[in-house]
Amino acid sequence: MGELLFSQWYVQNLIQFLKSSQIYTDLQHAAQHEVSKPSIRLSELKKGVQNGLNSSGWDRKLKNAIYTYLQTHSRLSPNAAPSDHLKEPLLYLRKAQQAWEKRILKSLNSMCTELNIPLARKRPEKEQKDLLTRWTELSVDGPDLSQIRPVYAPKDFLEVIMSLQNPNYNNGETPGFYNMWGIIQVPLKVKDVNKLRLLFSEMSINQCQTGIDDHSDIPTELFDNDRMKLGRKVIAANHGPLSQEYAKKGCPFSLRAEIWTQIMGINTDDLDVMYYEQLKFNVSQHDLLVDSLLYKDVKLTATNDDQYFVFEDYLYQILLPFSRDTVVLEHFAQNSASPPKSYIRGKLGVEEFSVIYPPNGVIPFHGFAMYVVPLCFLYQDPIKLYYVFREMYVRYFFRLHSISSHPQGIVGLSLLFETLLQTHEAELFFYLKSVGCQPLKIAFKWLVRAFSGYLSADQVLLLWDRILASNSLEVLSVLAVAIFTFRKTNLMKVQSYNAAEAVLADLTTLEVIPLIQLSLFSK
Amino acid sequence: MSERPINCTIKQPVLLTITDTKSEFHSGCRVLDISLSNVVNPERKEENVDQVGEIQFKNYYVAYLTVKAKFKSGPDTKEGENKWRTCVKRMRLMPNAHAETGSQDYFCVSRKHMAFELVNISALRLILQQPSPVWKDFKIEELRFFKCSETSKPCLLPSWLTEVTNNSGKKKIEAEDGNNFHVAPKEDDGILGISNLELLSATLQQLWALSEEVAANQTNVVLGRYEVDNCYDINLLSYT
Repeated sequence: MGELLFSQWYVQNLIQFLKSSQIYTDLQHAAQHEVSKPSIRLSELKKGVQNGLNSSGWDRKLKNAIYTYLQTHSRLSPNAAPSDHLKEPLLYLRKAQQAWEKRILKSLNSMCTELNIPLARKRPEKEQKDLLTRWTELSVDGPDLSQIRPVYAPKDFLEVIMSLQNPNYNNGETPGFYNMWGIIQVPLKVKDVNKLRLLFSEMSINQCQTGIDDHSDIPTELFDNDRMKLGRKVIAANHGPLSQEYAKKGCPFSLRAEIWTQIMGINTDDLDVMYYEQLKFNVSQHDLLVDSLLYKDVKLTATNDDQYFVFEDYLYQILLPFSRDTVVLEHFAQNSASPPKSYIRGKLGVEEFSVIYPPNGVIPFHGFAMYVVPLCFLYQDPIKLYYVFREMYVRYFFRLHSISSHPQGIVGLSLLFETLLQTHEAELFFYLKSVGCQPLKIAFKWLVRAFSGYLSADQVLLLWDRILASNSLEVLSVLAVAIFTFRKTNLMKVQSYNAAEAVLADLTTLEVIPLIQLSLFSK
Repeated sequence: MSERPINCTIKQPVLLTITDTKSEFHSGCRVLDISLSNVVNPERKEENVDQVGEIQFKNYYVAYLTVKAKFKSGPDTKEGENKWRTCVKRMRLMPNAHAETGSQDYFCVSRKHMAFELVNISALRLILQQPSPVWKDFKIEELRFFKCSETSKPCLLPSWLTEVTNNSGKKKIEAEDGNNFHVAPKEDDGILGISNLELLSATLQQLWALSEEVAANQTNVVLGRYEVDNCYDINLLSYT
C-alpha cells in the first residue's frame, strides 16, 4: 500500500464496503474451514489460516474485489463540497443539464397526455402470467407502437451541447478572438496526442495486436497461437488487473467474454440469478411507458440491422429488467444527471409517495439498444449478458448522454475530437468548416453510441476492448479522428454537408485498430 | 466540522489597475483585505480571534492565490518591523488558467500549505491572480476562516493495514501529514474489526458483542423496491 496513493478516508470506505459485501462472510467461512483442518497448529494459527486462504485462491478473490472497488470509486475525498457540486462542479453545465432533463420530462409528459396513457400501470393478473410465459419471445406480440416516438435522438442532444456557453467567458467585442473554432465552446482541458500515446502505448505499431495480427491470412504460428495460449493462462489466473493488461492488445473472440467479466469483476452467482428473476417479475407486474420506448427503439435500430436483428428477443430480456433495476440509481452520485421524479397517482406533492420513474432513473433515447447489441455476440446466457451490460452502462455509457465537464463526458470527448482534428488535420478541418460542415456534426452520433451500429460488430468489440483496458472512453474520439483522416481525400472534394455525410455514411468496412494506430503513432 | 467560522470583516476586492481609469487594462490581479483585530465581541472576550488555522472558500476562476499576513504589534516590536509577510505563495487553484479545471472547485488552505502559523495577526490580505484574459470575472466565494486546522482525530485503521512486514520487523506507514496512523498498542490485539477467536469462545458476553457488531455491519444490498405500498401507478412526471 503506497502512502500517498490512498487517503485514510478512502481506505476506510473501502473497508466498510468490503465488510458489508458478501466476500466478507465468504472469507470468514473459509477461514473457519481452515481452522478446523487438522494440519493447523495452535501456535501459528494466524499464519496457518492465512496460508490456507492464499492457497485456496481466496487472496485472488479479495484482490479482485478491491480492484473492482478501486476502478469504480473516485479517490478524491469530498471536502465540504455539496453533493450537487460532486455531480458536476461547473454551475452553468449543471444548469444546462437540468434544463435538458426538464425538456425530456416535458416531452414524455406531453406524449402521455396526447396518447392518453399513464406512465405506469399495474398489469392485470392474466397479462402478468402471459408475459412471463412468452418471456423468451417478447418480439412476437409487442405493444402498439404506432403512436410512440423516441424522446430524443443524438441530433437533438448535439444542439444542446452546441449551445453550451460559459457566462464568464470573454467573447465580447472581438468576436472569434477567444472563441474556439469547433462547435464546442466549453473551455475544457483535453489530452494532447502525446498523452494519448502514453495512454494507449500498448497499441503502438511495433506491437502485435489482436485485431490485426490474428487476421485469417496471417499464419497462426506467428502470433495467434501464442496469444491464445497467453489468454488462457490469464483466464486461469482469474485476476482483474491481469485481464485488463491483456485486453490492452485486444482479446481473441473466443476468450473475450471471460476476460471482460474478469476485468469488471462480474461473477454471476446464485444471488445475481435470483436478483435477475426478481427484476423479471417486476417487469411482469407493471406496464411502463418506458417499455414502449424501448420496444420502439429496438424496432427502429437493432431489428433493422442485418447484423443484429437476430438478437431482438435478447434485447427485451436485457432492457426491460434494466429499466426496473434500482441498483443503477447508485451511479447518479457521479453522474451530472438526476433521475426523474414522480408521485403515485392521486398523491401529488406528498413526499412519502414520491417515486423515481423509471425505477432505474434512465430514460432511453433513440439508439439506446445499441449499447447492448454488440454484447449479444459474447454472452449466450441473458443473465450474464444483463450484468455485463449494466456494469458497462454505469461505468462508461452513461457519460455519453449527460452534460458534464468530466474528461470522459460527451462534451470532453467531442472537444477532444475537434481539438485533435484541428491540430493534426488542420487543412481538412478548415476545408470542412468553410463548406459549412462542422466535422463534429457527423461524428457526434458515433460518439454517443460508442460506434455501435456504425462499425461491424467484431470491430465494435475490438474497440470496446480498449475502452475496458484503458478504463477510458477517449479512444472513441481518437477513432473518429482516424476515420476522418482515412477518408480525407474524398472529404476534401465535398461541397456540402450532405456530400460529406455520404462519404462517411458506411463505416462497416473499416478496420479500427490499424486506423487508431495510424492516427496516433504514424506522425 | 462543527466549529464556527471566525468573525471578521471582509472588504470588497479591489482590482489593480493603472492610474488612468478610462483605459481598460486587464491586470489579472485583485486584492482582498480581511481585518481580524477590530472585531468587537463583548460576550466572548476571552476568545482570541487572532489565530487562523484554516481558510475555506469556493473558487470562481482564480488561477493563483497568495495569502499575506500582518502581525499585531506587541510592546517589543520595533518601528517598521510590522510588515506584511507572505504565508502562502501563489497556490495554484486552476492547473491550466485557460481551461475550466478547478475553476469552480471548493478549496481549503490549511496549515500544510502555509509557510508559518497564523498566530497573533491583525489582518490578512488575499491576492487573487488570473493571468488568462478569457475570463470576464474572477473572485472567491463563501470565504470562511476557521480557528484550527481540520485535523480531526485520525480515524482508526486496522493495524494490519498500516503495518508493512519487512524482513527486519514491522514498520509503520506514516500518514500524509506526518502523523502516525493509530496503531493498536498491543501486538496480540489481532485484527481490528475481526474478533479474536480465543477471546470469542471464552465468554458468551463477547459472542453477544459479535452479534451486535454484525447487526451494525448491515449489508448495503438494496432490495430493489421502487413502488410505494405495492403501488406504482403513475400518470405524469413532476418537474421539481
